[in-house]
Amino acid sequence: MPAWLTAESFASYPAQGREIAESHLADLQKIPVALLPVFLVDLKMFDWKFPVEQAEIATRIAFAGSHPAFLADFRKIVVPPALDSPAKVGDPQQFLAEMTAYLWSSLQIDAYRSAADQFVAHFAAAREPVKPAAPRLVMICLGRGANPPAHPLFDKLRRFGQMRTNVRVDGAVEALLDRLRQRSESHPQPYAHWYVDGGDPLPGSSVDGVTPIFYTALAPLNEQILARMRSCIEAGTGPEVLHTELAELSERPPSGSRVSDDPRVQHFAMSLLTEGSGTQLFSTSFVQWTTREILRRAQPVTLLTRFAPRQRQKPFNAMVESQASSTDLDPNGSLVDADMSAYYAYLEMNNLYNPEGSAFLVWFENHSQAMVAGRNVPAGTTNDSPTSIPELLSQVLENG
Amino acid sequence: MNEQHHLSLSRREFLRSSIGATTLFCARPHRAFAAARGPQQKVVVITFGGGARDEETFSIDGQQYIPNLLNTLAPQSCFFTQVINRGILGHYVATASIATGAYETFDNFVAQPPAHPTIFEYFRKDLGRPREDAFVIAPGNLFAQIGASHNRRYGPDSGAEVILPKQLLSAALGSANTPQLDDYPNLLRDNYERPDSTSTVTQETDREEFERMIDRLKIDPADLRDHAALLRSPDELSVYMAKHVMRNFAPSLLFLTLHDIDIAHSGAYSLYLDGIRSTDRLSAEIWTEIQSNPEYKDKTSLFIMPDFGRDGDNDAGGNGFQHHRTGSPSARTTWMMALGPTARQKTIVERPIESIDLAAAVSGLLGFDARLVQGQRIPELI
Repeated sequence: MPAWLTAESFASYPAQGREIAESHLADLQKIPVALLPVFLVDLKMFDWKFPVEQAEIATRIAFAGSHPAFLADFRKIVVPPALDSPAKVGDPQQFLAEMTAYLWSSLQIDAYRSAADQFVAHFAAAREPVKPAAPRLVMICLGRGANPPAHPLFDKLRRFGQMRTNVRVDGAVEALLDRLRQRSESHPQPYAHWYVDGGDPLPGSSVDGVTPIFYTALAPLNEQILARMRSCIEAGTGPEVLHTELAELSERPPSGSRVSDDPRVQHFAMSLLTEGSGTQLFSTSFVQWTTREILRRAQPVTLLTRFAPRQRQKPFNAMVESQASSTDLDPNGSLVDADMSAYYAYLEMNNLYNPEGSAFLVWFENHSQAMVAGRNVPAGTTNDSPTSIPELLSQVLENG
Repeated sequence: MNEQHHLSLSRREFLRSSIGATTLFCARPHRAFAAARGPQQKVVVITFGGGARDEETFSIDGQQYIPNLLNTLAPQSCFFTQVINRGILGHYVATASIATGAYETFDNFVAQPPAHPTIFEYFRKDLGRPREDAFVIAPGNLFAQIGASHNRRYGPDSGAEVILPKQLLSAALGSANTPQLDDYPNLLRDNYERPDSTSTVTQETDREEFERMIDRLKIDPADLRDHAALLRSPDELSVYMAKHVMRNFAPSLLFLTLHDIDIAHSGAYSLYLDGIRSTDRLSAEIWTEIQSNPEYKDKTSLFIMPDFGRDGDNDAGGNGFQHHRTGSPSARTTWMMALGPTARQKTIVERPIESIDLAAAVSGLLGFDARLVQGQRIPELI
């Protein structure tokens, strides 16, 4: 137990994170050292977390402090003196990396994982879930430029919803954007409505109340990250140093890397490119990870995600050397990537409050195939009758 | 029922319905198996660095990606449905653990010899075998020292010859003053988990050693260059090298590590599937080579085993197929296929074994004393 934690331990933390740490110092002192770095990382990043995350962090610390029995298995994990030290608090990311490496090398990672599963289950059962202002809606647009695939599309999703095979294409994209706009106006709330695009955004997509994340708009930031990756590769420093350097970029963004006036969104965008794997190279990986992170972290009311073709695979170093070419694309491979990503988005949506009341739509852009899931949709069925995106949205949302 | 057992049952039921395999309950050596062993036994091991999950392999959904493993190899194999890796889930350290039969605990991202003796050292030292009787073909510099441990009783003098195909190709290019490795883009789809220029750029001192190796391995540099231009992935180059070694040296112990699947770390699902298809095809090519090469036919045991799995779609802290970071049952549990005279065809072994047990099995087949191996014998094989 880190009895050595004091208010001074958090002197280098940003203001809000430091305040939370100081006000929960007694709780933090009860957290076993093996688990502590997870909490410290949250506190160090607290000021840039989304509001729902901030509320949860404070609640979780208090819960851990008041339920030491739920932490018993963490206390059984043997931690070496070098990691049981106040010197580690200033750089919790490094602390976490060292602790993780130690848990693996000492073959205690399974015990840690088991302890974490138990703690998370207790906490999930005890906390008050974050309820969205309206039934949650996730809309995904994928397959731009791809040929209809030989294999069945939405294969993993079909059992959860209804396949629609006769969707009108005209006005479909605009309808998705309209619905996003309407909901942002009806339920105005910070970070509740998002639009993610793996390519250039749709015309008219700049809407008050909708947080945008566009891969093309992040290109200058991505170029700086690729430059840092190149220097690590040339120096032969290896992946751990690269990871550390990218984490530093995330904490201290270089000049010229600003992509948003909102510090939270700026930090979030940076984290997508520094913490995501492959997000710097493939737009499909970026959109998949971004979608999952928005759902997990911001718990949005509305999310519109649109995939674009990624670059064709090249040697790793060649892709790090230069940003994706707009001419050498792999639309058919991207469709396969995005199809799986849509499934992951659906799974993530179901980890949030009231999944039965949530609505999900995925559409093969410019084609007649879509899949919808929601409370009014018979799961595992196919419907061949003509329909449109607005009709499908009305079906899955009722009055949402 | 725990999740590992559930995975095992799913594989068993799938194989039963697919190829009509039966479950082997007997845990004692089969007499016919023991009789099949002889002084000329050979062993070929194929591991996949970048495990593949059931969802994309031995399942209803995944069978489309592994036609060769499922339709050609599985019916001839003894299939172990539950192989657990309890060690560190990093590719080099896990592969080294398979080769030593003990869970190695070193930093996965640092090229270094294993702590425990490898099966190559036991084999060569115990049986007095020459260097060219044990080969490792591995995907990159990180694996350069997997052939011998730093155990003082063994070490490099009794280790395996380790071939790093891309480095050999680089040396072959340099010696002929021809275009550089960059002109072979299909062979440079390197590990996304470990971006490192040194994995492809060969140092001058190393180059000289690789040039000596080219001579030693009887490789014609021009032939290597011509073949390399036709290949589509690093693993194809590894298999080309494996066939060359089998035809020219016929080693009794050959250990081949494939790596194309690990493109999954890039997050592109389609590329991960391409890697599985490639691995499926190349595994069958090795079996075909065994069957057509008189030095190997009817006296070779082939083991095919991913080094571990990958994270499950719903594993907390993971991102599905992309990584193997969670330590979940999906990431720790994989399968093994055994083919050859010591494996009863169309059988399924459901009881759990560990990936380090393979070293003990190889020691039994080849007849050396793997005295520091922590894994257990596999009685269904020996």
